[in-house]
Amino acid sequence: MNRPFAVLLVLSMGVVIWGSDWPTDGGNPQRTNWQQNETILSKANVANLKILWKVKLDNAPRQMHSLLPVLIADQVRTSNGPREIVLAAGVSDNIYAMDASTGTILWKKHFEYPPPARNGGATDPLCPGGLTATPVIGPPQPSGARTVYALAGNGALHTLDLATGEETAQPIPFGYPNGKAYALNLWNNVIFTTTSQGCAGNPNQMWAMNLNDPQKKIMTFNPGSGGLWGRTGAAIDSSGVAWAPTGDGTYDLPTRRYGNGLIGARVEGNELKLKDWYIPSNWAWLFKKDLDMQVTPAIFTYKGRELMVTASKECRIYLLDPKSAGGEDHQTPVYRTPLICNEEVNFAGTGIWGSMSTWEDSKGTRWILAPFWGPSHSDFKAPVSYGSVKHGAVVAFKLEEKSGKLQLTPAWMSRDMNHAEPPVVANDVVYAYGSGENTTQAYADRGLNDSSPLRIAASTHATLYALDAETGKELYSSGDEIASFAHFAGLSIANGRVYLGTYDSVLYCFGLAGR
Amino acid sequence: MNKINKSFLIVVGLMISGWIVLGQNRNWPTYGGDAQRSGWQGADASISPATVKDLQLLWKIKLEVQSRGMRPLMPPLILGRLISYRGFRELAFVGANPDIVYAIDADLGTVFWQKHLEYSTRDPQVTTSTWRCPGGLTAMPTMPVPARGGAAGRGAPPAAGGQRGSAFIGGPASVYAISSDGRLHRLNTSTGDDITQPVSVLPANARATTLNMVDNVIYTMTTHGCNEAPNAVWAIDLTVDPPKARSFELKAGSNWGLGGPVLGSDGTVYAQTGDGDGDFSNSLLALAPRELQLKQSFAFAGVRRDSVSLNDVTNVASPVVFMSGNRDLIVSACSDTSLCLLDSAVTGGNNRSAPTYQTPPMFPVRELQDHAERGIVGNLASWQDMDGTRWLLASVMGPLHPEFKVPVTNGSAPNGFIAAFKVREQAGKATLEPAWVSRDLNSPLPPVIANGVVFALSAGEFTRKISEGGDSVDERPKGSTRATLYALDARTGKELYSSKNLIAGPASLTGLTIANGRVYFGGIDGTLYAFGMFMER
Repeated sequence: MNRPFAVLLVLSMGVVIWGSDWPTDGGNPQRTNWQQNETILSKANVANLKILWKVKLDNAPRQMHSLLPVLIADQVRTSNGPREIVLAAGVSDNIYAMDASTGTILWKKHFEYPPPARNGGATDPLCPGGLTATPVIGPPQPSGARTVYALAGNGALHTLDLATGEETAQPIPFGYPNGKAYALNLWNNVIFTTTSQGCAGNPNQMWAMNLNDPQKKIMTFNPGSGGLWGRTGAAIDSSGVAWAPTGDGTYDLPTRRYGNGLIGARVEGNELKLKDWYIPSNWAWLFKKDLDMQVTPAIFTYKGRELMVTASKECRIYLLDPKSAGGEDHQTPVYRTPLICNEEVNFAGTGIWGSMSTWEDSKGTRWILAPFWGPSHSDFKAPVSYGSVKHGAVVAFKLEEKSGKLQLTPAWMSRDMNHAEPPVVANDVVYAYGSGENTTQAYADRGLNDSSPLRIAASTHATLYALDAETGKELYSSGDEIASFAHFAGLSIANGRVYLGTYDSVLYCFGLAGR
Repeated sequence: MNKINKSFLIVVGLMISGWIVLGQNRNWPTYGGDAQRSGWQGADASISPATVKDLQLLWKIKLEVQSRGMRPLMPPLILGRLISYRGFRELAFVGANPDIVYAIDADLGTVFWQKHLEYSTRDPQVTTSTWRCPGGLTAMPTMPVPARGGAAGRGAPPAAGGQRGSAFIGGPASVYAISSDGRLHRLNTSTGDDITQPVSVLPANARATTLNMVDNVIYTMTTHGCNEAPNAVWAIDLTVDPPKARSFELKAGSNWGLGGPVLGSDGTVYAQTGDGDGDFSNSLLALAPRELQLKQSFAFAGVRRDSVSLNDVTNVASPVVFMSGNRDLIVSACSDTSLCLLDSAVTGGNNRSAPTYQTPPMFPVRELQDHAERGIVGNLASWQDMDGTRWLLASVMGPLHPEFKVPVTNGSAPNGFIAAFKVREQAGKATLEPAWVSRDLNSPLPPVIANGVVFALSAGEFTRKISEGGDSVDERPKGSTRATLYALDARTGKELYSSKNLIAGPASLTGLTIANGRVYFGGIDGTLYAFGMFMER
């Protein structure tokens, strides 16, 4: 073997050996849910997916919350050599670091603090308290160390060494106790989160902190109306603007209320300032029917132009330009789909919930994916579908240009799923799951009664699916292998393994045997 | 942290005030919008004198009715926001004369549910229909109405010995209806199902007026002696189990007013009677709430009392009550042709005959036929503008009296009109100062008001021929007549909108509802119309 070839071989092996990460909820700060570095799982072998391991963690559920989407970091330098670490966070203020190959717990951290004075209601699923924000893993430092940022239920931001779980700094106040923060995002050393539902009396707003600021000043932007409950918090565009949906609220510019829309805010100096917003022109209808804009957008590039997609419980998808989110009037999207589901105009159990997914195939086609609950709309037709949809599905659109205008063209609609959740995409395979969660909030005989005990008792179990990303054809189903349901959980994927945590605090790892 | 809390509270306050300003999700729980039958929605930013020109026919839906007179479909109750198992809904509950209650999705104009109130009593159902006794459902349903100026439950007796009250109270919001068999129904607003077993509270096949419900007592009147039921005021007490129905027999002519019993701010029940024999004919009675003891009675002077044949024929609007200062003022049609203003603070025993104020005659009555074709009809209405001025509105069938002086008219009014008055107080005495008279209207229904706009419905051209015996009226719409909805400037009566030819036929002679930017009324053919401001869906 000649020398140049040997170097090249070692370098290429190093690239393969280095592996891929899933360091934040949604895979990246843009929340695309796309694992671009997957090489192990593919359309050709995903039918052989199986449970590689499952671990029951000692995390107590709170209301319907239990385990958050896991984070994954490969080649973490530990005292026992480089490891791929899976980091799971549980709502009862627990962080677990596990060996991705075996599920062995490497370390566990529990955040202790005096019980906060204010909590959510005894059976209120909206305000579970505790740790509700998916942590985030920072990039490798020059030393190779990786830092975990985790927001405890008392509002303190903890900084942990991923390899050991040791606190590397004093906890910093970054929120309200039991304030229901959503997934942390990290961009350019600024941590972002969003809060919602007014849990424990806390304000619904976007939060940011510059980790380089010695004062650790808390920066906030309050939209004046609504709540920011996009499942993966805020998504960040290339200019550092954090975009988050504002949920159920009113839009009134003179009084600076930006409810039922999407706001973009950016850190400037030591302030978080509103830069732009988009409000659907039928926001009053959304408000009246509780069809909130509450889906974290996905931000991507298409032919050199940065774009983003978001959605609502009304069950439409909006294509927006982050440089001018709604045009001059802030109410004109680049494109808006017709209704995909929620024909009955219900606020629970139907609509698009959570977050979006997007990926680009090898031919340069940009795909947009959305999950939805409930039956598909009778007027919505996809060229490829797999039977009637009664309980939920994943829909895929292609971003196309027609007559000089961008549009989202339906491509396929998946098989029926029991409350389809945000999918992740890797190597031309879509991984989706039906949560099995009961989402009933009102009853014929007693009216509104959103109760965790009632919903838990009526929930079934989650089911993981692998679909051909170009056709939606089912390639794999976990059937009845997952025992419990998942509420506000999520999929993570890296290095040939797919992870999902469920209500009973069991973390499942799916992969190929021997890989 | 404190600064953030303060900012948060300010934002919440803005949100709350914005909610009120937007006027969304308001209820119209009973006829006339409240227990005083004011017909006033209050603030509703969806509608204003500047924007009402853009009013649209939003939807119409044909409901099942029977050919039993001119009042087959009632104006709806509105529940502004129901969080139901089928989503957030604004619902319009409509009573129809085949003993059906409909819940209509107020945004979509579709049936959300319908409930047929099955006839189920020993007395056989009267299937014939006359002008006096049309049969079927005659009482407009109601929802509980907040007591004026007090918390819910004000005036209700404390529970005795742990008594919980009947199954007709407590729990989720309900619609209350009395079917033609005299049974009270409590309907689930989400499904229309009976929440509890219906109970008999009125004589079967009586003609009951629109219901009023305050402090868990439902008030109604039975009129026209249908199926030999006495003319009476009824109080159905739901705080006892089973519900107890008390009555005050009127021994008088029948009330034609659409509002039925009207409640004052202190719970006093005001009932107006019509022309006929008996101590309480042509009177306004003030009865104690719940128990219905007579507190006061007021006999109106100047009404023909010499002809028994006018019994039930004359049109008499039901009164309206409003607060002025720390007492109630009551305005009623005190004779065939004028209005009387009464002060609840002025005591004087029974059978007082001198009102605090009486207007001049508003229209001429020359012959017997005029009693059927002319009158102050339906019910009176009242609203208060932002500078505190109280207004009073009356619907009049017939031409404007040539000697009735009013500063503003809007063209000639040979067939009918809305008359508006300002309530003035001088040295503690209230008067009604004529302000304006509307354009010409055919069979005007009682108006409703929101945000400075009066909605008036010209129901269509009707013939009303008194029989030779003088004891009934042949009332029917003229061929091809149609109703027309108008929006008028509440301060001047100027026409701001006309529905022109949008309504296909004559209106059901029952009245209007207004809530959350929409105006509703029924047609004689059973069509329910909704006019309003467009909202993008």
